[in-house]
Amino acid sequence: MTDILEIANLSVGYGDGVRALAGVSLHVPAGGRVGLIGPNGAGKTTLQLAIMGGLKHEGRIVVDGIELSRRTTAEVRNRCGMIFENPDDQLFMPTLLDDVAFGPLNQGTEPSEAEARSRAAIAAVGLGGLASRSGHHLSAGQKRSAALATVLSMNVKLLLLDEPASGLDCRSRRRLIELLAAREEAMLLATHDLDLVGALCREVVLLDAGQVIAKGGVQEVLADAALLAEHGLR
Amino acid sequence: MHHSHIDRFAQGDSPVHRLEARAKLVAVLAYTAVLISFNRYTVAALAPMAILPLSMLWFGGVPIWFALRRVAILSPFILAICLFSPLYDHSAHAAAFGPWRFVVSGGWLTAFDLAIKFTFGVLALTALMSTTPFASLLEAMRKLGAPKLLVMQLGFVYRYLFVLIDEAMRIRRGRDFRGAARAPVGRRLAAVGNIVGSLFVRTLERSDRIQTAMAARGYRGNSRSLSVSQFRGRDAAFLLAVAAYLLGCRWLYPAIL
Repeated sequence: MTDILEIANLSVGYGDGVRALAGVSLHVPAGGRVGLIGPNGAGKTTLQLAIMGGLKHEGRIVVDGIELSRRTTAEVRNRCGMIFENPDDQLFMPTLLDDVAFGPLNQGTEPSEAEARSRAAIAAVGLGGLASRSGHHLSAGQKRSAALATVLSMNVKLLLLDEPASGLDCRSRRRLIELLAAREEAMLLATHDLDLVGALCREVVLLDAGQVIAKGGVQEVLADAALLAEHGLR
Repeated sequence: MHHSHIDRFAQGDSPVHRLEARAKLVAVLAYTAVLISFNRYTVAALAPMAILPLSMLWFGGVPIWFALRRVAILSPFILAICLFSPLYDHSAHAAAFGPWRFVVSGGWLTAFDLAIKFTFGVLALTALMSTTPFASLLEAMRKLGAPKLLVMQLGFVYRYLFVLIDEAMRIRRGRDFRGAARAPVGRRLAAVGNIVGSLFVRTLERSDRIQTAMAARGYRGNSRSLSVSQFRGRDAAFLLAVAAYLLGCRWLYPAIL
């Protein structure tokens, strides 16, 4: 199976001298779901932002065969979509329909096609009928689904999900898991919610202090209680 | 606090709701321009200017108490100016009220003029906002050639104003639950300063995240949007009627008066 995402020796540093990622290497197969677990401050969000071309980095990031650089950032962003931890940061347009159409329109899609894709994405996440609502009028669970719709409408091949279930009640969480499990896109799911990873992913990467500590099958890594405890996950 | 405080009733269905946003926006802008063009000493000539906002509210199914509450909420801003104007303008003017004739100072006339223009202006704006979803208004502004950046900024204000207010409320609750009411005034004021500072920093951080979210979905400085509304015959008819009404108010009625 070919990889939709390949990361080799990735390092990211912040201006204050903090090394957020140091020599991270991982891959996500096409259509595969990989969990990225780690305690707070492990570098999970930083890794996803780097993949989206939002941070300066050293090392190699390849998305769908395209190596990320300043020149290829737009192409990479056409192929992967990120869902932020706080959906309020992602829903910034006056209505849900405008929000979901924002990406396709920026991709140069014709307005009629963008609208059709957006309505389909809204329906796919179960928010049909709420297209004219403002993001502020949605519940927490609906905001999560809406944020997912904003990237599904872009027909991306890789979804980067940052703590997608945080703040959700059991029903909304279950609904989100069903929604994500039914998708065909590859996913890199950053979370410290191990049950969520167990429900959705086959492979998992444990990140701590900006470094890959362990990677492998979900059963294998999540069964290592000592490892999880050592890195603040149990 | 929720968005319903800005455009409550805007999702309704009425003849006014069904008018295209551009028609209503142009009508209210023209109305405002005519309203402020009246001489400040000709207060009686303003009477027919009440018809448009009241009609829009009536046919739009917007309760008058809701609109008057808006006027009341905003009135402190204008009330101070109204109260002080008699102190500055002592010119004498002849006035009539029915069969009665009397002399009144220019300052009082100015005060009444300001209060009436303010009331009518807020009623007209409330009628516009309560019969037009904010997204449609933004689209109308964009189509009428308003700067894209301005329209986008207004969209962000609409979207995030209440997120910010909610955040401020949470911080305030956090302060109050730790006995802020018992603290000396100086420390309470310092806490307010810290809250404002904290909100400012959080807003900056949020704007950074929003910018990242926009860039992640391909935004490169040019905002495009779906265009869903169409200008129809009834919108043109509405605009023509408003134009005739405003001409009548501005030139015909004062001449009769």
